[in-house]
Amino acid sequence: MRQQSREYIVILFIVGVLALNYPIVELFDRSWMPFGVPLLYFYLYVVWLALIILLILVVQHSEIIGADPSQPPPDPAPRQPVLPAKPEAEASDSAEPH
Amino acid sequence: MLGDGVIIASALAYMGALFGIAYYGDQRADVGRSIIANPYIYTLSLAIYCTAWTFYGSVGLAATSGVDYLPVYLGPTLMAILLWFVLRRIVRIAKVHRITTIADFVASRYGKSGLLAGMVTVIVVFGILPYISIQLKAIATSFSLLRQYPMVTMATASAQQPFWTDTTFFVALVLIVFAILFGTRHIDNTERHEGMVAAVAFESLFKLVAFVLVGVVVTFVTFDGPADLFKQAATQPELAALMRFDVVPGGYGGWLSLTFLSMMAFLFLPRQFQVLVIENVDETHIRKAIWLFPLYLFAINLFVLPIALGGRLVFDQGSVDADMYVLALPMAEQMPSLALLAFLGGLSAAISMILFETVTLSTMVCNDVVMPILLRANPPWLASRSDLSGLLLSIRRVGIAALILLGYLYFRFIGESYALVTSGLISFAAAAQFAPPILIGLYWKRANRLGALVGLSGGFLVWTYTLLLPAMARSGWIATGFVEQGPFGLELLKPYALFGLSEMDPYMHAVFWSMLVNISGLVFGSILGRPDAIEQVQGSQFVNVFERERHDGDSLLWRGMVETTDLYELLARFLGPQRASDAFDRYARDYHNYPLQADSRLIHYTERLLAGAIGAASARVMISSIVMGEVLSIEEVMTILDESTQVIEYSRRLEQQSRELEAASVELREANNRLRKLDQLKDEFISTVTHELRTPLTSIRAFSEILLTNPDMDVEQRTQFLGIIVKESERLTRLINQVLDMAKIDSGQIEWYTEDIDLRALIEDAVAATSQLFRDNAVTLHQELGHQPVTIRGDHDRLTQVVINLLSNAVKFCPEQTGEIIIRLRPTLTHWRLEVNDNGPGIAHDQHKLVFEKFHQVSDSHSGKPKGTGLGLPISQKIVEHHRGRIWVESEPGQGAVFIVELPMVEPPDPV
Repeated sequence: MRQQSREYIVILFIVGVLALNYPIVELFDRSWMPFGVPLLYFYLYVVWLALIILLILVVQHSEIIGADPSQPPPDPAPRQPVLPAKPEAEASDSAEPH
Repeated sequence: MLGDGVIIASALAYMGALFGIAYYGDQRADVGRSIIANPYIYTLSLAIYCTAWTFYGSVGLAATSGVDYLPVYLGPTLMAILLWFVLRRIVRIAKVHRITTIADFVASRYGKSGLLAGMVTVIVVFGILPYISIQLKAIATSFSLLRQYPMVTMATASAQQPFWTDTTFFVALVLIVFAILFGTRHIDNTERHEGMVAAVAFESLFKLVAFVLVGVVVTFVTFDGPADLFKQAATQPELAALMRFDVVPGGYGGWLSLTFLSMMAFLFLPRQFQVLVIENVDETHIRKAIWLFPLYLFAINLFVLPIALGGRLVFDQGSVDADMYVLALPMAEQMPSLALLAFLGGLSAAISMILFETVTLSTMVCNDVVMPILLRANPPWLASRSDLSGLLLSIRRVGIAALILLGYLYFRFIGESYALVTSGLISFAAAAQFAPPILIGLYWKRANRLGALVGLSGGFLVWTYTLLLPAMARSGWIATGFVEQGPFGLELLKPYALFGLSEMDPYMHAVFWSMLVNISGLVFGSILGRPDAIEQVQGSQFVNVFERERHDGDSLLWRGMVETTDLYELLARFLGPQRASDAFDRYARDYHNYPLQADSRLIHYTERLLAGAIGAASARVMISSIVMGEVLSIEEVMTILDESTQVIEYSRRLEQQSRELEAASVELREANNRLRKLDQLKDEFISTVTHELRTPLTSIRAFSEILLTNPDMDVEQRTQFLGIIVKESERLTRLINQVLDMAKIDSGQIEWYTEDIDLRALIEDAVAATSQLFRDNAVTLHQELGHQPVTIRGDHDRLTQVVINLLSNAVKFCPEQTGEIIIRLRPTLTHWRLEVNDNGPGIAHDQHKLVFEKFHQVSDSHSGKPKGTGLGLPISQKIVEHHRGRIWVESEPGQGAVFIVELPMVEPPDPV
């Protein structure tokens, strides 16, 4: 994931924490009912949905950039057929200096 | 109509379907075609987070505390945003180290500590019982509600019945059988349960559909859409209050702490850790789950408030438990099939949680508590068994049964009086205790075992004191004075207001104190404690999991000796002989055979396999019991790590240097060969020169002595002798001049006089100068020089010298009497070409270049005596090269030789 996407994610998290807590929530604690829905609920669900949509945008954007180059090392688990050790997967035992 | 028979039959049919899915999933996994290897199944399996708490409890909470149900889902949404950072790291570590449970993870991080693994397991068992109990309670309550259909009345509290008539008890029994069938079919050394994950994914879909359907029916059938519902609710003051924040217990502080708790619980509840980390097939699935999972939470929460308000509007206060509105509203609507669907939805939410939680927990209990104790005690009956895989399975089965029964006991004696969510939160707070050791341990290398032990035990004690004990007190097991006035009347120690902190709600209070104790214990313990080798190695491996490891420090820790057969037997004991030999075969294939005397790599390989089956801490104990040899000290390990990286670096530089050295030495050898050759040539030259010098000198001296001692010699003879003396002196002078010329050219001291010269005239002059030589040797000369003057720029005297050299050389090698020499001058496209062709013995191919070397002389094949000085051709070459021309020889042995000189033209030759 690119540096930029990482930044977006951190920003999104901070925005989410702020928007879903005191005092911002307090601002929407009114008896007004837009579209027949209590404002507090309306606000919380809209913020929630907005967070999800922004998250989709950030994640999909970073996907275009390409998958993370670091792949997990081959797992010696018997369940998977044993693959020949990939050259880049040097974290496993196979790269151990002798 | 819904009778007991219909309800029980459909519940059993539903569970049978689940079992079928799980069975199919395992089958597919065994043939290597996983059905769970896609991000959607992964996301759905994460939705195991939504248990009966979500299905029934959210509505119950919303009906009394309004918006308070939301933080439990907003927390995981916020955590999902961070998943890519946190979870990917954990997943990678778990794969590299073959972690099987959360206890295993914590223990591995802090030096494979068995004590820590046991402590985590104990905390989890205590912490999770309330959570299991609410699932049982939800199933039992919903069942007893549904069986009364079409009446909507609450059954009597089950605690007042003996347990053998208690529905909850039978539900627990059925679930025990189901969980055992599901989760302990075989020992898998990866501890992954593909079939169960598939079943859970299906359940997540099922409960979502059921809940949304109920929500839609309540909103649009019972009422005329959400606007109508909210309008009706707003007319009642107590329901209107639910739409505002004031009803949330604990206010914004409670809200925040609940968000925090659910963020942590989402990651660190044992079943969450299992589906998030252990059952993760592919790291890239996380990418999709990051947004898909919050979307699931959003969808399942959309109708919570409508159902809660609808329930409050439809039912009189207190007639129906608000936790059961999801079921009761369809019943009140006289919709039996929807009610049944809602019941099954709640059932699936509860079952998936109980299944995964108990299977995971039983693995932890088995690996981290029972087996270590058994293996340490090593009773005779155990030592004699060679295959323990059956024993492991039995322990897990007993563990599952015990956990569900304990959950039942908690429900019966403590949890009955609580609402679903209240009990669940106690479990959340317990799971949050794992956040500091795991999260801090992921990023702070120095966090060590002492810190983790102190922090975890401190946090657990605070949790027990501020949440578990008060819950017991409320249920009448401890005098309520404990909560009201504090233990022994000590006001400062009141569990809900520790040290007088009375402003917070109980959960925020507990979270604050337990996190304070936990984190500070971890930090100060880590700073004060001295970590041993394995702690440091594990710490640095966990923190640096994404960096390429230059060295697998873990395997270094085994320095002892062990027979390979011993390792095999150990592995076979826990995995069964079949899997063990498979594993060793694979090792042999990967590393081209295994040594009889196991090396550290094979030991480490075995340890990791064992860790998959019995946990890292136990695996370490088992391995160290058979490996003879000491464990390295931290200094040694670090030294080895340091040294080996240095050695790698050093050897790389050495390699490079040795390559350079090799190249240099090849050059040197060549240079040396040339020098030796030159040296040899020089020796030969000196002997030649001295010989050449001595021959004329000897004859000069001899004839001079004759003339001196015979003054009366006749004139004719005297004249002949003097002629010889003069000729020999000339020869001497020529020789010395050539040596001097060569020395001058070599040192660059020679002066060149460049002017326009006529090459043809120059050659004719040279021919004239050497005509005496031709006559003396009776060699015929043919000239083919054309008739036009040939103008080039050059040094007249030096070029004359070249031509004379070539001509006299040719004469020297021509046979007397029959010798023939042709001198030819003709233009090429860019050069004037001068050829001197003789009919002498010719020059061998390997000599063509050498003849231009200084001091080189072609030996006469007849006499072996060199004929020249060895300087004529080198001097000629220098001169030609100075004129930007070239000189070479073409010859076949026995066919004569052609010396060719090419000199660049200054103007194109005139067309003739």
